[in-house]
Amino acid sequence: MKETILVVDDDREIVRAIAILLEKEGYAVLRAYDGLEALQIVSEQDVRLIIIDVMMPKLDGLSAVMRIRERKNLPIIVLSARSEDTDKILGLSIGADDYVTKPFNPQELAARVRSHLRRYLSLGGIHARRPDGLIVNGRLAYDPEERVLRADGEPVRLTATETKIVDLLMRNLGRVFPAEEIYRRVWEEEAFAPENTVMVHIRRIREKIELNPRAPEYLKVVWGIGYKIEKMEGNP
Amino acid sequence: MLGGLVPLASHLKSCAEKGTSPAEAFQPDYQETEEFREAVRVYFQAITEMVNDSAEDAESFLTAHYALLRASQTYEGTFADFEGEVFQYLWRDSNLLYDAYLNGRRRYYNTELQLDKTGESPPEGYCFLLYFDGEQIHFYRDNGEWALRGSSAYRGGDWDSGNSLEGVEVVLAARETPEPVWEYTAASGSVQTSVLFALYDAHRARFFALRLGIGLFAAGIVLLALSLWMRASRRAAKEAVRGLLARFWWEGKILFLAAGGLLTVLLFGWAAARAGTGDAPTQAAALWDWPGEVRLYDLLPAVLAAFWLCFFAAFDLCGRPWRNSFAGWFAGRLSGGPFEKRMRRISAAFLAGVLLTAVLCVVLWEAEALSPAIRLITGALLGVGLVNILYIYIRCCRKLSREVSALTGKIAAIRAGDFAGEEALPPGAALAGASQDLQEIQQGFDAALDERMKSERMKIALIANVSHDLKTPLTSILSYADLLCGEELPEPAGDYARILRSKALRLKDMVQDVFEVSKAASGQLPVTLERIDYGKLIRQTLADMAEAIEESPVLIREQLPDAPVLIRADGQRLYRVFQNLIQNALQYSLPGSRVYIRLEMEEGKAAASVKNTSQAELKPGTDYTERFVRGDESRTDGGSGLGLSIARSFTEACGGTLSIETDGDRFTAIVEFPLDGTAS
Repeated sequence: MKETILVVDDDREIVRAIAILLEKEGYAVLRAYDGLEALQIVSEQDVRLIIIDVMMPKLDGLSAVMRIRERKNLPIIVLSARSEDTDKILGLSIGADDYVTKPFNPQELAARVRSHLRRYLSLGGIHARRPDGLIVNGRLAYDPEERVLRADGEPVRLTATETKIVDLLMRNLGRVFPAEEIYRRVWEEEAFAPENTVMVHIRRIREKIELNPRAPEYLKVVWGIGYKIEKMEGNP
Repeated sequence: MLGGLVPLASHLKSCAEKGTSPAEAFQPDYQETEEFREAVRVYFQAITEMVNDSAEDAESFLTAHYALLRASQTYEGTFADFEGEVFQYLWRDSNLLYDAYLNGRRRYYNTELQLDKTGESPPEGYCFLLYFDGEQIHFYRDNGEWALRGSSAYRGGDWDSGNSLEGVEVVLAARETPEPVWEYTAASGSVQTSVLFALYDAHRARFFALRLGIGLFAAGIVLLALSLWMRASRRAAKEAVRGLLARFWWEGKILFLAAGGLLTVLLFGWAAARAGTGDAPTQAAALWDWPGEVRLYDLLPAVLAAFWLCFFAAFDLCGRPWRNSFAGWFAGRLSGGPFEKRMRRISAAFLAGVLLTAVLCVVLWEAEALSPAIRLITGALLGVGLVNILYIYIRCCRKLSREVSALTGKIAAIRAGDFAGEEALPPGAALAGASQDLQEIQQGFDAALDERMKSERMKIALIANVSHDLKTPLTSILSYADLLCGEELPEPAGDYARILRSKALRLKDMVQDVFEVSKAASGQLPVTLERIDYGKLIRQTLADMAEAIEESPVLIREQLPDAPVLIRADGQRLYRVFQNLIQNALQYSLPGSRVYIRLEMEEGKAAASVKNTSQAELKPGTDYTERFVRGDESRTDGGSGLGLSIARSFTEACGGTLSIETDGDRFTAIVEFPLDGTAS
């Protein structure tokens, strides 16, 4: 199935580059070069995801996002050269689902598109029949009984050790565990240099669940203290 | 004006006492006065009676003569004394020459000269002649017989002796300008005995004093009128006078003042003595041996001088008198800076004042003629003057020292960085020049600081804007480079594509770095401080970079304590710092060498060091944490030279310090933090 993605940016080359990238992934891409055009296309066509730039003439990206959000619920990824935290917070609070800074890693962008689409399409379905006890955190969903982790609805293949680590961290979302404690609980013995061992496993888990393993959003190091899985906005 | 009134008043008073007419005083020629005539009459009578041997009238003559003498203030003794000496007085008084004949025989005379009865040739210097031929009186004046003005006064009354005197001939001659006759008596020392001289002297003095008095009075009225009319410009006039006076050296002023003061004191002494005895002293009692009598008329000029001196002195003192000093002027001529000159001037003036006072004291000490009372008073005044000089000197010094301290305070403020204050000293101060210079320096600093800050801000804004502008085309480059690499390209195109992409990625990193540096430099880095374990952080960083460490040609030797080393820092930022340091060590070390990572605690500080052996030669003295400074200037791959600069900004933002030590080929980076000692 070809989902339709709308790409909006006043720089034609960037729109073209992203379009080629996404078309390679198998999506149908629509192009717009300012906010008004974007609104028009969204109202006329069945768009599944929007990638929109902030600085545009006629109608800027954030205003367009606000207008779109009045009627549509589709995932919106904001693209911007501004990398300040304040800009990120503003974008997300206006109604965007994600914030990507320029220059971006094309692979990462593609991964995010995939992730958001999957969640919108499949997780929306899961919402209906969510079993009790499922720990949902952003893209991740962990079933503590079956000890299965799902990212964007898709189950993730983890080793036994990795599952134990994920189990510990997902049951205590947001809590920081020092490496010694993780080691003790998982390997059930005292470690000599736990950081190295734990780090290896964490790295592997990241490869499997993060959109960009080098810039992890969920499995994070709290430097000088330990490790955690970040609790996402909107989770209780 | 007042001075003018005084002689008039006293004259009127004495006239009232004696019953003479006041207008007489305005007679220029003393021989025309009533007093003169009275004296001549008395003498005439006396001599005629002497010749006539009218003994019983001798008594009245003596009394009259005595009265005359007393009235003219010539004689102080008693009548008894006088009786014994009267004929001597008469005989010796050459101001009035007499020749008396009885029946042609010369009986009484007091001169060898035979007085010419005709009046044609009077003796030298004598201009008045009276000739009685037994019946009539002839008056001669200046070689001519004429009716004397007011010669009716010589008729009638006492002039008529009633009967003519047979055989009596009397010639009297009076000097035009009488001279004093001095007699020495045991009782009263040297005494002036000539009545005529006394009369003449008194008349002359009175005449002069009255003229002076009237003149002064008139002048006074005129001045009063003027001062009332020009009342408005009185203040300006005062200022002008003060200004004029201020220009004179005060040494001179002091001398004048001393003279004036002395004069005043003497006058007061004389007046007091006079008031004490109630009578005109023949000697200026209690003052000194003043030959002759001292009358107020004589003293009038002195009084005026004293008065005006004191007036000007007081006038001067109301302003700021003691500015110009001779000694000061002299001292100021010597070379030196303005402050030096001023100090020297003040000290010189002070010394001069002390010296002057000392000199005056010595003079006072030597002047034994003055009474102890006077000397005491003057000495006291001098003492007061000295104290005043001392006080003025101290005040000048204090004022100067206050100015200096204000200046030094201003200097300290400028050094401390306060560029906003106002001038240290008001414009009139002695060191105003220096204060102005200081003010200009301060303004210069302020302006320079403003300039610097403005340029800094502009730089940072520029960097931020530029980095944003760079990101847009960079995005395209990266995207297309990536796409290009995704295509199946024949060599060498594929190779070119890969190179393009790797360089584009590096460019992206550099732009990120520049942006970070500018944020760090402008202080806009948000930092959240937490209590973290330093050792744990370094271990985590090493674990995180395990792959890179594996692939690098160097070995890591770590010496980290197991026990927690707690510090307060932003963990995320500190991780970046160590990532950068270890990255540098991995990249720039001599292949095969070791990198030593240590964490030590001492004196309340935790110091972590990353030590490696540099592959390239290290130039001593370079500051590697400066922006864009690289270890090997010639290298074209690798970092942008911003890494250490960012690392230092991050470290300092957390409250720590980053320092680099180089020793030969050994490069050590030390990151120090104060230990966080608070218990958890």
